[in-house]
Amino acid sequence: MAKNLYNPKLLLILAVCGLSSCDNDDETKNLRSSVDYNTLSLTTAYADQFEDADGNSTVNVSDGTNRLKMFQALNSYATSSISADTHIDEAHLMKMFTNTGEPFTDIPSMNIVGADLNATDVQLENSVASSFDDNEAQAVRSKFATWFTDLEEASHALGSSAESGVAGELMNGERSYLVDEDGIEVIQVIQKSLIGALQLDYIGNVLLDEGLTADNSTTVSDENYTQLEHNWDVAYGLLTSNPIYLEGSTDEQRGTSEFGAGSYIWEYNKAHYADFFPAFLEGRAAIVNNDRAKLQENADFIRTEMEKTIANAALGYLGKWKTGANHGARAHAIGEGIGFIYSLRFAKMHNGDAAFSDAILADLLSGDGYWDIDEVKVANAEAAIKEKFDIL
Amino acid sequence: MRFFSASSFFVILLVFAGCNKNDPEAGQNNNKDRQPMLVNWVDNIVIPSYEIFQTKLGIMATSAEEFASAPSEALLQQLREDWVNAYIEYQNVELFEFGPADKYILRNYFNIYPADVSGIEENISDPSANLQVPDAYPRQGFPALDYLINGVGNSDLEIVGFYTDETSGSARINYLSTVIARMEERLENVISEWPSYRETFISKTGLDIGSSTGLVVNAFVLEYERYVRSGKIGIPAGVMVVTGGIPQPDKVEAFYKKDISKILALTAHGAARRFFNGEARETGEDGPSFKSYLDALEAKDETSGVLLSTIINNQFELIETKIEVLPDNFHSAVQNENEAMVEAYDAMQALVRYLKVDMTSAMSVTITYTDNDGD
Repeated sequence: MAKNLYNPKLLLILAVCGLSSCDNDDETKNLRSSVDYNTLSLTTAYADQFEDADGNSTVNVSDGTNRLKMFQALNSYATSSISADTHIDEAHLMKMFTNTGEPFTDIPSMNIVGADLNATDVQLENSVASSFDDNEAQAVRSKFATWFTDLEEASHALGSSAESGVAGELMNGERSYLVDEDGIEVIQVIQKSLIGALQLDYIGNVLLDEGLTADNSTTVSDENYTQLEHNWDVAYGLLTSNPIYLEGSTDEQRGTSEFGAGSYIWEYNKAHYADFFPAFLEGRAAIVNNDRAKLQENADFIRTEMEKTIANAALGYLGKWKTGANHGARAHAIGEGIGFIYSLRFAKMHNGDAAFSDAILADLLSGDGYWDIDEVKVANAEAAIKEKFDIL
Repeated sequence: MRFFSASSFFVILLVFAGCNKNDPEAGQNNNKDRQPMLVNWVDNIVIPSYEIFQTKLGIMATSAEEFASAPSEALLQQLREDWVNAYIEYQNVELFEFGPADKYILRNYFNIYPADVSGIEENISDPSANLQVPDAYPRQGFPALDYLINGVGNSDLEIVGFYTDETSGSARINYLSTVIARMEERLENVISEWPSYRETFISKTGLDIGSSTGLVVNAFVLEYERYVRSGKIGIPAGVMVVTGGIPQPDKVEAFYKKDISKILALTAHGAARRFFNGEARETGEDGPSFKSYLDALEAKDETSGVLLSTIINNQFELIETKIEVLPDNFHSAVQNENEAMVEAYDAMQALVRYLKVDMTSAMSVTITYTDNDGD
């Protein structure tokens, strides 16, 4: 026994253990009584599972949900204008993007109350690409402004047929898609790029990265949650506006109405969509418990699987270009694909960056954009994505 | 009652452990091992079928060369016969649109019809026209050849005259040769890539989106739904929503030759049935397949207890009898006895449901080729 104690390796281990437990004690006296991971429930609302000593929920997801609803409202304005054959106003898109000039109106079907969104101090633009340095972030925000302009321009061609070099509509059966002069369905590019620039980047690269270093020992003034708890909750709210993410979903049938990343995780990550709600619950409980390892494990899971979802969606839509039976189907697939490929620059767990995304897009869209795509360009794009994301 | 509560508790535990979905092999035992099925597909079905097709395509190409060097009615008839044989044989490989054929989009370049006649005429007068874009799909492949050797004149004499025409004859010959050379080249690309792709293919034994089983199920069901059921029967018969219930005789496969649409449809249907049963191309023996896999999973109809694979095979047989009673020429069939076409379509539609819904859910494979996003 005595001999063992002098084993230098064992001493080192003991010392490290001692230090780390000291650290924990110093840094974070648990604010609340711990949550038993086994009591977390897949059938109880996220917000109802974390309470303060008085039994009040410590969860406030509104900063996330409001951004998600703004994203939805912006998308709805653009797509409904297209289906109504009315011109899209780029200035209005920009107002929605920056939440200026009270741009939001009620959309009851999406549970959106315009006045509520107009009154919040959150907005899309400054959340977009916010993990990037200023120059890179500005480049992304300017790109959205350019797309808004493109979309307005293309919308003047509503009612006429598109061809190479000419904006207009492309048909797939009775469905019509508005494309610009390069055959790009701009609304899809905007929508799918926001999945990366807003949802993946703000959730994965901000809230679940640097956001995890926030204070967890005191509550935010006038609130009953810590900043760390709040960061995690905002991430949940930006993914879904449902109390139980994907509740009742099977591989064949999505059980909840989701938008953006929340929907694509179900569609393109069949292996893991059911693990997201548990991961959010467990990570949140780990915050209460100051269980750093478990917190990190769940944050990494969410980030990694969101990124894989986007990579698989990009591959899925490239594949749909191949099986699309007409220009409408093919151009729609490419519009979605471009947005998802653009989003891959935010896949930081897989070392995605702007150079990676832009190189793929430059090759795919060389020449006359959509109109010059062939299977060689598609195969190159697929190969680059598969290699980066380690998909065989 | 007790069973349900115990099992749902178990599921919750698994989800929290985060391990149930990480391992695609979890819960599978050796009887349901998918690798032998993947190996059987590649070694006994895909590669041998491609090789047989390549031989017949080569025979057609040789006849075309002979015809090109000295167009005559006899050489035209030889070319036509070899084109028919190659077109029929092609029906045995069209369903392999995964891996290399997916990469080189073989079906898009081999069999998109109806042929784009004005596009073909344009390309004849512009030899530098880009054949490698979607608009060019129906200007090449078997449907373009159908037009070029059956549709450019009312008699063999006129067709030969199309190619011996003093001003345009040589440009037409060149286009015929270009189309055939492209087909040979593309098929060679696909065949030569299979040996290296084979290793990847048989190693991806999971059931997730990128797995080989997932790819094959999607390719197989898509082919049957869109290209056999709709393309060969449904669209010409006018049953699809897009055709508004009006028969479209000009949309039949081999529109200019006309009397081979039935044999093309029967061959494609038979290829799907044989693939379902894992029938080796050369020996005709059944190997590991969708059928044996479904049987290992004990997939059956809940009320009758009949194996799903039996239900599917019965439906394959029923469809075969419904195609066999059709005339050789679907162009006249849809105009004169469309009810029989619609009956065949309905039987195929039932099969699509078994394959797309029952088979995939029994296998836990997701259909990814449809676009569900509603935008």
